[in-house]
Amino acid sequence: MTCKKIERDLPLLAGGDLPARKARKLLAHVAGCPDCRGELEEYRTALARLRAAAREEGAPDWTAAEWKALMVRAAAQNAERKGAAAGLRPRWALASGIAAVILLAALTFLFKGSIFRSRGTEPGQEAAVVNKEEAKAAPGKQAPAKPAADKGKRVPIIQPEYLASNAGKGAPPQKTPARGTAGQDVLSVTMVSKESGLQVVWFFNRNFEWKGDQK
Amino acid sequence: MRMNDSEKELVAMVLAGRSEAFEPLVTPYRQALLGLACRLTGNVEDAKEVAQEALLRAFRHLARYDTSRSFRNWLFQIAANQARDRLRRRRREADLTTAAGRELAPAEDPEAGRRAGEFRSALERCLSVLGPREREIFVLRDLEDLDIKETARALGCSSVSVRVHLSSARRKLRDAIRATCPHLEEGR
Repeated sequence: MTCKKIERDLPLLAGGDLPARKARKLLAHVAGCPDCRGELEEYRTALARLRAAAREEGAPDWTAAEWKALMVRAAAQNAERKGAAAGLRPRWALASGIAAVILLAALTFLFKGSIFRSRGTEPGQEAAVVNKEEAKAAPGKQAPAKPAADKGKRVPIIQPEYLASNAGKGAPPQKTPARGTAGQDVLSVTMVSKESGLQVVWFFNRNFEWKGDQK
Repeated sequence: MRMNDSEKELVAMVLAGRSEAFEPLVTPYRQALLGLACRLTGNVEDAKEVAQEALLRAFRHLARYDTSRSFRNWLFQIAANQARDRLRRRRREADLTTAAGRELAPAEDPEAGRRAGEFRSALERCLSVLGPREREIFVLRDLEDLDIKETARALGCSSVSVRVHLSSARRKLRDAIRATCPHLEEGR
């Protein structure tokens, strides 16, 4: 090991920052080399002086008022953070609302009509039942009079409870035709944002399913 | 140096929302932190701002603190990052001032100027020969007694890089002591 080679490692050796194996090699060289020994000693002394100077100088300290103000500021920062975490930010509320509406729309599309479907019936069954009942009207009994305007038309009739409870019974139903007018059977969902006051109203109409039959 | 149990308890309390536990947690390091900031920035006014911001950041990000580490070293790491940002900003401002051909304005507050001058001690004059990275490494390793590994962690660099810069810093300081601070060599 040459003096030139260990020159750059001497500062690290002086501070004890070399791996043990390398340090041993260097110390072996230094023991037999007065120049390197002198230089190592110089580094050690410089380091010790700088550390001593730093200790003597000490460090400035906060005044009591500064420290107190800093701690108050930290606590206030905590309170602000809690406040922010307590409620969703408006943009998140809006995004959540929009996401919920999209989800609802997607579900409605996927399960189209099933949420309006009468208990125990299949799509189109109601109309079929009505036609059947009209055709089988008992000879002795007159079917209820229809409004003149409805003659010749197929009118959807919704009587789910009746259909379910009278299934298999012979007695003809007392029909009260319920027309699928636009104002009927409308489901609305209203979503209101607490933060912005934004209202989103979503309407679902049974006619959506029976659109082909509407006139 | 690892975190002791009382510090762990205090950290848990702060994280649970008891902000009053923060003061006893950081009080043991208040002076050391300010001292480190002084050594890194070179003046008391900047140091106070750096240390203050470091403490506020430590409070905000306490949940990220790894309790297997020394709390002091973690605080030092935050302060070193803050000091680096501040010095970078200062250099940019100085560059802009130079580019505009303006002279640097004298300190408005004479008291602040006097305090800053006082702090520019022999040690500070020696440290001024170091580059920013060398200064950070020398201060953390030799004046604050972090080991090589902790210094590397605090500064986000490798141990090899720390050794290279440390070697260079010590050489420059030895030369500076010879040239400009002979009184530090007294007693040799």
